[in-house]
Amino acid sequence: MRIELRSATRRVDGRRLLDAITLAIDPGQALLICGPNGAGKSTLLKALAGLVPLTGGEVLYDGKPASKWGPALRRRIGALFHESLLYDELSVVDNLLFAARLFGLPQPQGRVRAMIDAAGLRLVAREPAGRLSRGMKQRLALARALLHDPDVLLLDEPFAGLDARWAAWLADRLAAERRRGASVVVVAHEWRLAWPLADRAAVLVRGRLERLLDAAAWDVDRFGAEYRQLLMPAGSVEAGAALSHAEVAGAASMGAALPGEGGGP
Amino acid sequence: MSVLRAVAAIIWKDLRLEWRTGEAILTPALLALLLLLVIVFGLPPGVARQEGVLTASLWTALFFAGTVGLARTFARERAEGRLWGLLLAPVDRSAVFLAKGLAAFLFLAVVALVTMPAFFGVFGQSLGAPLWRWGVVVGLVLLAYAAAGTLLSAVAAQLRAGEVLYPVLLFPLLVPVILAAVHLTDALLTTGGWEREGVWMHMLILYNILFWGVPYLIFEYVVEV
Repeated sequence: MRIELRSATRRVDGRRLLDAITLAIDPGQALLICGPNGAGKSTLLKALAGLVPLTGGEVLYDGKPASKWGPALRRRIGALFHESLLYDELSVVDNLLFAARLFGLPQPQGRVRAMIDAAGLRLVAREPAGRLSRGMKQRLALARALLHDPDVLLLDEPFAGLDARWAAWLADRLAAERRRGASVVVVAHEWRLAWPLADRAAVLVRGRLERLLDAAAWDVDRFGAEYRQLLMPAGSVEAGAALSHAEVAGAASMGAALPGEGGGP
Repeated sequence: MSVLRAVAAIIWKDLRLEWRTGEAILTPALLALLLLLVIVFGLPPGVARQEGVLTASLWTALFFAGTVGLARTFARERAEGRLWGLLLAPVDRSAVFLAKGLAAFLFLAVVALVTMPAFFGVFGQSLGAPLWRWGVVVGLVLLAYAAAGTLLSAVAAQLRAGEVLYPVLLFPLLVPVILAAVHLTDALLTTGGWEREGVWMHMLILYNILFWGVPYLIFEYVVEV
């Protein structure tokens, strides 16, 4: 499903959370969105999901404004936000069964069983979601997002809390979803984990799309340097914190900053 | 069909949650019974059997106890972004209001079913009217209460101090329902029917149409951030 943002803007109390963002994602493509805290990444995902209204511009799916799609569009969207969307008091099975019934999936029991197996949650299937470890809960939230085979995946920090094995599982799963034709939008502070999945990378700073570049044309370390250059002029503590958090592993290998105006080195 | 499916799914989920937490039935039922004790202890001797005392005590307890569960209707959905999950369902968003309202009605009905015999027993009153008439009156009152309570719970869930403000905002909205409940209950106890208070019966039906119909149409905007 093709996703298109045209001058997408959201203002709240005079603050611009999203500032005239224009970009497009083709079916089967993956877009990585990174940026410091408060850059508008999560707001952008929620605007794509139709959960927060834009105050300017529009979102189009397959060329049709999202507002004109109605409920049929939501059937094609799978979402994971910072919040898990899960009911801590309900078991793993019940959480997924509820989602399956809400989406009207045929044979929900079988679909839920298959997803529980895929996410490695069989041994805790009857446990309340609130008793799961951080990583297991993240896998359950991912299972909920993937349950109905959506054409659009909107994932906020999907690798958070996953160990190496399950991060690899998620990477494989997302690659499979893309081969199926799903469009994937990933917001990640730990962008290095999501980098191999991405066709393009977008850097948001204070609601503005500062860079939109072709990930295949960029080496991960070169992108790291560019990213650092983009964030540091902001001079905020937040920007520095985001850098040290996201780039600590690769800081030593970073080369000189590269020039580049959106779209490539 | 998809609306009914989503409504059924949300009610099923709320019943499962209630089974695990007891927030919407157990706690309000216990509170209603405690209020009964407080009222009985507070009344002077011999007053309990006087006309109007049962009616006032019963509805005071049911309306106050009911807010405990109703306030949680949408407050519970606010945690962990669960409301986002409901709003992402591929159905008209009004289905969420319908489902939450019907679940709230079911819980209130169980609370009434459990506590009302205790009130009749303690105040030493007989029903005075066929059971089905009681079912109609109590059912309509609780339906109206559930509709107004669910709508306001959705609004309060968007506010910072929503849970604190909830009862303060709710009771003024419920004045017509409370008046109708009292008049119709008195009529059932004294005449065995509601014919004497037909105007309150009509008002209650109208209130239900209004408070189920309008929120159903505007719910999309109520939950919009």
